[in-house]
Amino acid sequence: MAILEVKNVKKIYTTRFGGAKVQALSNVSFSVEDGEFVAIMGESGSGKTTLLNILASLDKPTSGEVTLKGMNLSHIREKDIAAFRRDHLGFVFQDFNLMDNFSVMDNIFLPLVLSGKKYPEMSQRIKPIAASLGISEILQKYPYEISGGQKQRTAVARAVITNPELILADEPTGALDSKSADELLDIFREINESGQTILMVTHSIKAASKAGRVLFIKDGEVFHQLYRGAGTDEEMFQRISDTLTMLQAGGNMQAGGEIKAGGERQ
Amino acid sequence: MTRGLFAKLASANIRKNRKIYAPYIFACVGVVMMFYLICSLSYDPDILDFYCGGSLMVILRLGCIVVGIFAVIFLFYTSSFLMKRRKTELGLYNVLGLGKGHIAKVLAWETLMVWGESVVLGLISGMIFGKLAQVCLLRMMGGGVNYNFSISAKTMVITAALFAGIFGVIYIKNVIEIYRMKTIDLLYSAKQGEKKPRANYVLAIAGVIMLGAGYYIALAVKNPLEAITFFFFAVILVIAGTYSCMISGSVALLSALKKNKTYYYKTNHFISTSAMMFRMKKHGAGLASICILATMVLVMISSTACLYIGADKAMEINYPRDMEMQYAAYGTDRATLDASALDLNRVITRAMNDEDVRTAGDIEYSLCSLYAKPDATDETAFSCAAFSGDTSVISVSVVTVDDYNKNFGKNAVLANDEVLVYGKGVSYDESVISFGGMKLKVAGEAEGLVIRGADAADISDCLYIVTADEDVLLKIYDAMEKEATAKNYPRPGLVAYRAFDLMSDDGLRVQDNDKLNRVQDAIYTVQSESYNGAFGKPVKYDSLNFSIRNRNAAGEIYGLYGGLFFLGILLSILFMGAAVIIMYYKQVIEGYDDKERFDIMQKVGMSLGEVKKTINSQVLTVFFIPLLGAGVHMAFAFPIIALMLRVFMISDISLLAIITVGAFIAFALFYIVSYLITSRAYYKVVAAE
Ligand SMILES: Nc1ncnc2c1ncn2[C@@H]1O[C@H](COP(=O)(O)OP(=O)(O)OP(=O)(O)O)[C@@H](O)[C@H]1O
Ligand SMILES: [Mg+2]
Repeated sequence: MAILEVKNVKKIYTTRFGGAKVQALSNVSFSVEDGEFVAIMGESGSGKTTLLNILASLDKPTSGEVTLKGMNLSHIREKDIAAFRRDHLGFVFQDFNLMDNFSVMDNIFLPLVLSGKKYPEMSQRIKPIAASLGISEILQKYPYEISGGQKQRTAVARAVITNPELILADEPTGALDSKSADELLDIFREINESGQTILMVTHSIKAASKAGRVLFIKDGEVFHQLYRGAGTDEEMFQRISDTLTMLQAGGNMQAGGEIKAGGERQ
Repeated sequence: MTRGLFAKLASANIRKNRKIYAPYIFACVGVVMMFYLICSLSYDPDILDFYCGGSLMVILRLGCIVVGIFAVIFLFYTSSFLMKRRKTELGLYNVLGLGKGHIAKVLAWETLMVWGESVVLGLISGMIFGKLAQVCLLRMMGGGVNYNFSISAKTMVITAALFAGIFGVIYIKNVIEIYRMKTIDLLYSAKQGEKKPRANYVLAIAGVIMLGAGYYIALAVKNPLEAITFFFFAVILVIAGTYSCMISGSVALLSALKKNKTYYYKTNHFISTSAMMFRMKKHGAGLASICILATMVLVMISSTACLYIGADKAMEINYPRDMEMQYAAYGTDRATLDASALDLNRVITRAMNDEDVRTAGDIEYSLCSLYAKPDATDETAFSCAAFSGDTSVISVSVVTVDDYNKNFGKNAVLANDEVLVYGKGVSYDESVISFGGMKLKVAGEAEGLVIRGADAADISDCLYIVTADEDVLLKIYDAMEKEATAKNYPRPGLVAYRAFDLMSDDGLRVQDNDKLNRVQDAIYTVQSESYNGAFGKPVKYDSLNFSIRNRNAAGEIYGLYGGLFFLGILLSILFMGAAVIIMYYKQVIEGYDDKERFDIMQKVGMSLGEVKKTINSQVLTVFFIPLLGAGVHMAFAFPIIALMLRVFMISDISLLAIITVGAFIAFALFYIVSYLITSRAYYKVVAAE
């Protein structure tokens, strides 16, 4: 069952003083099945963040529609959007976005407190999550006292504690060294294996190679996609880099054609 | 690298950082202007010419020192804010290849430019407003106005040198800081994660204790003479208490709230509690400064305005007539009193003839004068007391109903055990009153009674008692004298009192102060001749005290009170300006901090509306704290200010109350308006993409 469906989404930015128009997304369609781990890749400026913001209901598409669990995002009333986001989506960002005036624990509690949960329930929920993320020891610390990897794991904990339908991650490994990045990706894979759906934007081939499926965006469209199938990480890595090389060379694969042909599903 | 480059870089920096540099330069110009203004007034020959010019000079010099000290503290504070914001930029220079020595040179140029700009602009505006200020001051002192425009080169040099010194020290401090820091710290110092605020309970408790002690002193002091000294201590305690309460007390309170899990993890408490903690840690000092400045403004304005406005009424009762004199006899008999009253008349008549003037509006009576204190158990029973300055001790004057009727055009009739009362500072509402065990019925108020100027000027409250006749008066005198002798207190006195206005030959009131002084001298001369037997058999003068006062001192007091009020206004303007600048900087910092929070909170699922609501309520709370603090401080300071004003012959508490409340309302309005204006800086930062 498709948990997320994106149909013909188009986004045109108009600069503030009514000047030039930038077409960030021209026509994006794809869907994500329950329990999938999808990576989105593309050149800088290709519209990945824009897409993610639209999925996160932080921004509205110019046209097209996005459906999450059968709910059309553009039908949700403005005042309910924040609560919707809180209940159904989890976020992990490149620059962590932790509040420096909250301890690690309070940062993780934040979305729960906002939806009015009681303390005993919250502390019940945080225990297994903190343990599996290896941050039980630092719950009382403040963001300035912990490392980048720990910050990102805190952000992951904050994203999963609400049991969201979908986790959106925008270059989550961008600010991490390779060891922390690997650890984070392992964590992503673990929570994915326990049933969590994840959609991750990344520049890193290595990160993308951990995903079950990779979407390539170019010129505001989904240009190509790869499925892992039974392949290993190493094989996946190789195929992604081949695809990227091809894309760079101005590849002659037509987006529509590939997808219609069912990608490289094996 | 050439010197021109550093200078160019420096001026480019100042222009580029206009948003944070402009208020700093504005503050510097303001402080320079105030300093020049007050300093030049303190050397102004036109003001020195004035009859209270001498004492006003001293006050103005003190004002100079206050502004000087204030300038040091305030400029250090604002410049440190400036440096904090600029370290990233300087770090970038460092990375891009400017050595620390070079940075020091750029900073030197910047400092030099800001100094030059502030001194030049400050002096120019000081000269423009200087004349205005001089005219206002002379008007307030009750003097005439002239139109010569003078520029004091000496003052200009002093001002330029003082600020060169201050800027130099600030520069050295900044350079030392930069040499100490590593490049990487410079680069990230503005972005460094905020440290978790630790509640310092010791400091918090110390703060509460200091504040309490300050308040207690302000309430406990009952003696106007001691009030000034105690006020000083109370002020220091309250300032220290305010700083530690606002810095640690608030954090301690909030972290106590945070420990309470059920309270803390509520949607609307969660965000504001910890955000407030950080806000208070960062802005506690700034808020305390604003609070202290506000309190100072309120204290200065309300007390000096009360002096200035109350002066008219005060002078009216302090100098009921142009001239007053009395013979006071302590421990003598009735005959001596009569003889001295007679002598007083002879002396006055002679002196009037000598000086070609006549008396008018004469007041002439005898009285019994003593200090008394109500019993602890019975408010209506007075016993003898020694004057100590304590407000519980009052001065009591007893006159006969004949003297009262004759002098004040009344026709009151009293039974033997009845009295009329009249109070200054106290209103006596009881139906009986007793002295030394002698019980009397209070038949009413002695309306229209004019009390002696010396009593009006006295810091003690005083009570006038009108008795049925001389017998009753003397009975009171005897009873109290017995008590005084037994307790070894100063004995009550019998006083022969005369007061009158002076008219010259043409029937006009004498206006000239010199003439008043000449008549006073003449009276002295005749009095000493009388002492030497000029009128025959001398009275027993050895036990008599002669004293005289004339209205001429009133002019001096006017001038002085006017000058004090004027200085109060100038310093208030300065302090209010400082408060606004601090507020502005606070808003800008808060803006940068809140901008990030805004973004994050939205991403984790708060709507824009909710985010705005919580942040607004925090900003408003923080905004009201200093105003509230100033209001509470002012309320506690009120009694001690009222006490101190008695030393300046003002005992009208309702006037002080009206002025204080008025000043507070005016200040609150000013505060709100400047908040609204500075908060635009905040919203600009927060709304920036
Ligand atoms: N708020 C905006 N207003 C106008 N144009 C925008 C805005 N945000 C993004 N753009 C433009 O839309 C295009 C897509 O931007 P987007 O941030 O989605 O790229 P991206 O794929 O995330 O790039 P990167 O990999 O560098 O993060 C870019 O050309 C960008 O300049
Ligand atoms: Mg991006």
